[in-house]
Amino acid sequence: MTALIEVRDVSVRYLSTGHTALAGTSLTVRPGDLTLVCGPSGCGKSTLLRLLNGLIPHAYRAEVTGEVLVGGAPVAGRSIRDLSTVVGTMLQDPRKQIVGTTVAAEIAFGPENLGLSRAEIRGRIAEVAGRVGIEHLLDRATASLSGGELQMVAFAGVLVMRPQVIVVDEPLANLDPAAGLRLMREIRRFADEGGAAVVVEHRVEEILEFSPTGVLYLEEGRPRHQGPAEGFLKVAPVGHVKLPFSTLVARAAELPAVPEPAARGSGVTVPRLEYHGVGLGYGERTVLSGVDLSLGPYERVAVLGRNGAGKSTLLRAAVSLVDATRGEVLVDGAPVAERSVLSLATTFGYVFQNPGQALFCATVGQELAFGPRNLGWSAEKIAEESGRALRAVLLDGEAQIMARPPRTLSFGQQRRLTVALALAMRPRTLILDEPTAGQDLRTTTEFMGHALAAGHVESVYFITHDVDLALTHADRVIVVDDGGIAADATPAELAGDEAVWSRAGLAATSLVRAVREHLPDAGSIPHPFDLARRVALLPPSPSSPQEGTP
Amino acid sequence: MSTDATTPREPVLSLSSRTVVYGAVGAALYAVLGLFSFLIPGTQAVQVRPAFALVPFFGKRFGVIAGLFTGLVGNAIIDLISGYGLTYWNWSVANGLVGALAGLLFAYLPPIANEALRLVVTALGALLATAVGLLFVFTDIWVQGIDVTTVISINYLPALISDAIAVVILVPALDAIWEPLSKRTGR
Amino acid sequence: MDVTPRYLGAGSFLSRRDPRVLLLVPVLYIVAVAGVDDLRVVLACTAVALAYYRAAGIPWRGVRANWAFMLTLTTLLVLANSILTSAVSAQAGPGEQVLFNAPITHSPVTWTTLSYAATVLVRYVSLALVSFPVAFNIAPSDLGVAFARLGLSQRLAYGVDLTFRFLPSTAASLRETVDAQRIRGYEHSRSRNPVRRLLSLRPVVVPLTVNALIDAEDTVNAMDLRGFGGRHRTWMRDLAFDRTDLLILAGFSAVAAVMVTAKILGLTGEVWVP
Ligand SMILES: Nc1ncnc2c1ncn2[C@@H]1O[C@H](COP(=O)(O)OP(=O)(O)OP(=O)(O)O)[C@@H](O)[C@H]1O
Ligand SMILES: Nc1ncnc2c1ncn2[C@@H]1O[C@H](COP(=O)(O)OP(=O)(O)OP(=O)(O)O)[C@@H](O)[C@H]1O
Ligand SMILES: [Mg+2]
Ligand SMILES: [Mg+2]
Repeated sequence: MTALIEVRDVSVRYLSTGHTALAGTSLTVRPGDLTLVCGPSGCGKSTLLRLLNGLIPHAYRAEVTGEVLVGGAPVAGRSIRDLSTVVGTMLQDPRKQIVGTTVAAEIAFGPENLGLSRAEIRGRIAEVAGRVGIEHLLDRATASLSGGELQMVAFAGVLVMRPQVIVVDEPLANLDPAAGLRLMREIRRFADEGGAAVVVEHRVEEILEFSPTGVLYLEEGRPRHQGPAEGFLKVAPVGHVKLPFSTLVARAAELPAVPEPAARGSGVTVPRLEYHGVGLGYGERTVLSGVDLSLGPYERVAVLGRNGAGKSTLLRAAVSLVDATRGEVLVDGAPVAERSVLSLATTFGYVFQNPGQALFCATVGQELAFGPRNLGWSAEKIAEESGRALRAVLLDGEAQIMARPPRTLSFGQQRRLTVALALAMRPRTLILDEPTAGQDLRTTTEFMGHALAAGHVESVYFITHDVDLALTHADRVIVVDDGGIAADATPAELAGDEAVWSRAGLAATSLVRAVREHLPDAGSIPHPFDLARRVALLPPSPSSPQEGTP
Repeated sequence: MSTDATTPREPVLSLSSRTVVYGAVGAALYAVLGLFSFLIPGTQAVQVRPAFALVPFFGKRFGVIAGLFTGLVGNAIIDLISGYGLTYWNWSVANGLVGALAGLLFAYLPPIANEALRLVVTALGALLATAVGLLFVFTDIWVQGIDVTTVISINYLPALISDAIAVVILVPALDAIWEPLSKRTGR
Repeated sequence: MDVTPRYLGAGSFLSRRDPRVLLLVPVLYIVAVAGVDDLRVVLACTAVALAYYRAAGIPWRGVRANWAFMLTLTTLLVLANSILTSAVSAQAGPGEQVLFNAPITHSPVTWTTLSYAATVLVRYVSLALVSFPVAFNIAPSDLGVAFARLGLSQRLAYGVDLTFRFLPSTAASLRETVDAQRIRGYEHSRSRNPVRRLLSLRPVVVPLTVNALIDAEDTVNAMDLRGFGGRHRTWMRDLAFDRTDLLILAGFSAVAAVMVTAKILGLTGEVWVP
């Protein structure tokens, strides 16, 4: 069978920066293929996708050598519009690619541009909506959809153009695990029904469950590994790619040592943050009700739950960004409503999901000084705290960092900078809203390590969709679902509770299954590497289920 | 369609999907900040419409059409949402002209390397575009039969003064932040 | 934060019209009344405008505030105009009786001045009468296609739709940005100095704008990738003038034509004095 896409020994150099983002890369996509592309941030994954859909060379100014054939013809000779009927593209963040005000208008957008007849478009919308199960959403405004729903709508908007190949850039980054599985199932089905898919994703383990036909692992713009998934599992760098637990066990001998987590203080009895019968919502709409919860001053708490469950709402109440409609929120024993903005700002360092949200100064130095200056600190104290905060997030090594415009830092650096901004105000508790979404494993590990180890920070509460991150970095996990707290347990207890994993938008990972099997007694969970080493020493048990397959 | 792989710069009046999206983003920003600036602590007592600065900024950075669109559609949407329909249509046109003029003006200005000078030129250019663009409200003399003195003293000057303050302060601020970014993002 | 125009005239005669009618009528009406100085003529036009407004079925409760604001603004403008202006007093006949002298400028107020002021006021009000339906009787989703079918470039017309798509998300980002800065201790500047106050807006305006621009790059790509920008584009919403639509347009065109002719013939340029 002829290949749908042929990439032969291609290199890409962006003319705006002169940077070579991709070199010597080849890729063949045939009908039925599901290809996984992975690698650390900045390795050229998105660049590769831009080659496949024609954005390079048609929209980006870049120098391309080598050959890219789509449907047997070179992309250079076809317009993006023409290519869009062969290669359908889903970008990373559905919020940015949705152009319709209603779901029906959004799905109609592509066919409208192709100039199809109204009857044809209506037919296609009905067909696609039925296929991905969003008929009930067709009349809804896109602005009112949850992250998972948006992703499905974006997917429908691509499918409706009847492409032969779909290329997907980090589809799982903003989705709860269950929604991610639903989306991947649709992508797999698309490939099984004669199409093909190329998926870029950091969450390798989740994609491997859908048995991709091939894996392309890039590093610094060059292919480091290319071939079937089994081979990739044998050679993938362990600290950089999140691998299934069974692979960790099989490769236990190569796993690097992991540092002991720092011990925390304890003994104080007044909780940092308490909810007494709290109801939270926006306007008429109640998001959470009857919340009773008490978070200690020396705890590391992870909050899990499906998209739109109310995780962010729950923690926003701590800093008075949402007011309780009933009940009471207490901070250090006093009602939050009585605390001033400034005293809350030094109690909680709150880091929002989108790092760009707060950056407005011309230089990192000014940015760091903004919060402390609002507190009325002296210039010397501000300088000292700024330096300390930068060191805590390992940005001090960056050349001329204080004079850099903040938004010219890489995305990961901007994330770390926002933590530094919070740290510079010397908060006692750090609240992080999805701190690691869309980041590679190494960045994630480093980032969490620094956030948790920062000097004066007594406790960290973080929201995440990454189940393994919650299990390994928290001593307590809270699951928000159905307008309330659905579970509140230690990581090991939670892993053992089979019922919870099929609800609340969660899905058990191979680590969860391993913990359930090997650590039945409640307690904290060791680093996955340590656990893998321990498991590797055990005699092989015949009942042990095969990990890494669905 | 899209920018050609080899053209370093789009023609002054180009109408690519970029222009459309940036125009729409500008109009939405202008409308939201114009309607809801009261949400920002401290704006209750600001007698100017700070968001107006977005109009010459979009003109300067994203071209004549994007600037025109930002001012015209942005202001029309503010009127639409506040419920005046097209009653004050010439104000929307005037806003659009400000954006378009800023686009034209800066398209023909050579790039300036000195940062301080660039900020001053940005502020003055935006101010000039504002002063000229708002002249469109003089149409009220013919349409509504108002006297020149009235248009100047009741319509033009107050609007010019309050918009000028916003423009002179916020346009260089926005532009200075966008300058290093424009080189990195973008195609 | 609601950023959709209020759709108040649901089910009314005008709401059932093609949106292009609602956009074209105010244009024709402006052509008709612009520069008319005769109060009687403007009043006649206003009667037409009022009938049109009644057909929009906009409930009074919903627009009370808008009318109050509109009337206050216009009254102030007209008062100022009557006081400041010298043109009108010059138009007054030589021996005309001075009713009283305006405060501040002491310019004489005559029947001519009053009639002229009334003309300006009534014209503003009548213009509002024909243009309020644009705000309250057109569904926002119909605007893009209406402009496209009026001959605007397909891309720009889609830009109007896209603006409405960006409104709610921009409003949400504004809220989040304000929140994010509040957490850093951002509070309002108590200074009376407008420059200070404007400078203190930067922490919100700058990141909001920059974020929107950075995100826009992805939106541009997404639109290109779904074939945007071709010469021909289908719009799912089908617009067609029916007989009534055409009658309304013909009626307003006739009014405009008559009025323009009258203007050319110099029939409406005199201020009417009872
Ligand atoms: N438009 C552009 N102009 C210039 N350089 C670019 C452009 N887009 C990306 N690059 C650079 O090319 C390299 C590869 O970027 P790319 O976006 O393909 O990485 P990625 O693997 O998708 O990373 P991530 O996982 O962070 O999304 C990076 O060094 C990046 O800075
Ligand atoms: N400012 C707001 N106004 C109105 N509704 C809101 C607002 N913020 C959030 N919501 C709604 O409240 C619900 C809970 O939102 P929240 O952001 O807390 O969810 P979440 O659990 O953090 O979801 P995600 O994982 O997608 O971030 C959602 O349905 C959301 O649409
Ligand atoms: Mg990428
Ligand atoms: Mg959230």
